[in-house]
Amino acid sequence: MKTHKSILITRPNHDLITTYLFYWSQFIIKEARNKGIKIFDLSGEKANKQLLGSYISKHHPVFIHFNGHGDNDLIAGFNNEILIQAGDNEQLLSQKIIYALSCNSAKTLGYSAVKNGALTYIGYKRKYILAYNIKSQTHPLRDRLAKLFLEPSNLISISLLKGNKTRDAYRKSQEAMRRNFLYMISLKATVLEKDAASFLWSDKKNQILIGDENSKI
Amino acid sequence: MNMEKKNVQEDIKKLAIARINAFSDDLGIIIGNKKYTKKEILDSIEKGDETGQEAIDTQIEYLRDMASGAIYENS
Repeated sequence: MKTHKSILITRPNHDLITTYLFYWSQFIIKEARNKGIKIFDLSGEKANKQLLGSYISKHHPVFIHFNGHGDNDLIAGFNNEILIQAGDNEQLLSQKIIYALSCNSAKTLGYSAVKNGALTYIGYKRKYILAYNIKSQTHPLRDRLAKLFLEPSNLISISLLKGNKTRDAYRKSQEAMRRNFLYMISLKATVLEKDAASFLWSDKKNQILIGDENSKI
Repeated sequence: MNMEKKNVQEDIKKLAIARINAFSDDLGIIIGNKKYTKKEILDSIEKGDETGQEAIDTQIEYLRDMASGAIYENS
């Protein structure tokens, strides 16, 4: 069924982690298209402050998924240009649901965004850690280790696109991380997967939801 | 810092180093905006920089949660 709702995603790809996120975000874009939801894809160099502001003002996306580097009070885009910063332009996130796959931003920016009108902010209060197989780094989508980290992350956006409330999207992501983690410490896991388990555990503990748990796209 | 606290911190550091030392050489870790090999993380711990501290905290938190049974709690 077609709807008038739109979402926006930023996908810079200027270094290894943003390249991994760039590729793994394709599944979110695909899900949006399957659901008939318009998606604005600020990929590569298009993940910049000027275009972000312009797309938000013009199209009013109900949900924004940020991929990129971050810090306590900011989210960055291509070449680490600051896209959103607390005390500067977090009002752009007003009336929107936000998922920020970036380091630390939930710690300060998340609260500031919600205080300034964002409906819900899901992000990480400490550094996001991604484990990957060095032998697979030129083919991110074939990296089975990275998959254990990035599929649970994608689940936030995919669950929201399927009509779930933010609390359920968050719960599903947490459960998926837990499931993957328990697999990684099991006898079925490879040595590499076992070695990376502690880092997924850290991501699970640091992912938080701020604001309205009942909001939905 | 008193001597006892210093000794505990030194033991924690040694424990984290021992765990990371045992990791596969194929494991790549991206912490924040930098990618690290096992050796680079160990170097960071030795230097005592922010990444090294993050790596120590991650390992110790994991071991604590493992010991307390928190990793098996459905939360």
